[in-house]
Amino acid sequence: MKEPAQILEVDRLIHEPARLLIVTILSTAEKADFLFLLRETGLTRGNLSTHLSKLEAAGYVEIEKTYRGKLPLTLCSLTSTGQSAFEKYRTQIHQFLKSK
Amino acid sequence: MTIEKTDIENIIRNTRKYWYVDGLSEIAGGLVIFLTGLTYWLIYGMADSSTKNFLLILAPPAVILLGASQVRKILPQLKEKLTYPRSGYLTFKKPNRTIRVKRAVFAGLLSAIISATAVMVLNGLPQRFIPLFSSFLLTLFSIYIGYQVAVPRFYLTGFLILMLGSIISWINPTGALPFMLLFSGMGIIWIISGLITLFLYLRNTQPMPEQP
Repeated sequence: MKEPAQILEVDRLIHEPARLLIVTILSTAEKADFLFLLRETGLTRGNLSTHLSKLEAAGYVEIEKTYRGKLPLTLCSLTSTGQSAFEKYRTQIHQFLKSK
Repeated sequence: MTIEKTDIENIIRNTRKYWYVDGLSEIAGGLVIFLTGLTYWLIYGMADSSTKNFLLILAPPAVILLGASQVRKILPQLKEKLTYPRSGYLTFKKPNRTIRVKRAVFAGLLSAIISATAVMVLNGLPQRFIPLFSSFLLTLFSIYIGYQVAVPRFYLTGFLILMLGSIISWINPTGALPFMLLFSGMGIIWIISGLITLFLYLRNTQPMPEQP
């Protein structure tokens, strides 16, 4: 990507800073629970839930409701679609910053 | 939050340090290293020299392997009780087969180069400087871990290990005592570092309900 105007083509779902943070963390992890994401992102529970729902709706994140002993556990992981979208986003941003 | 502030590489490195957030890994690793040092000391005290030489080759790696397998069993159980309710649960991606093979080859080559260099240097070194040189290699290892997982306290433990090696070389004990002191001392440094980290972690964090 050489034209600076092509920055407009980046995936806006990932480009939003809070979601970018979530996706970046999940790109390193196999699975992370809701509490870990809450701690790492510094978002409120409501905000984190909303962003995760949007990422799940786009097929970028898979959310699994399970139990650890008797305690409920919400596990999040990046799907292969999400991983590809994240890699593409990184490349686009990198190319854009290089072309400046 | 801007793109500039969302430093992707830093976030990835920060996620990796999760495993060291509670100090439990250092305590466990320190215990294994301490036991290795203790093994040297026990074997050195033996009267029969052929048994002693045989055990000096076999026992320390056996202690390390056995200790590591026990740590792999116990550590997740401890983390489930202490860490997951406070910091959340995280599992890391397992690298694919090609990456694993590449890493194994790289690690093998690196070990061979370090071993060959160490042998060459040690042959030319007076006996008293061997602990200093060994501690230097261990310090490099500590710094490498610290950088890889973005945990700066490993730089301090590396420095302390180098100090320990310097002191042992200065005192210049004989026989297996230098290695016993070096490994035991390194184990104790890791255990203390881990205990301080664990104390601060438990003081600064509280278990949280998980559900959104």
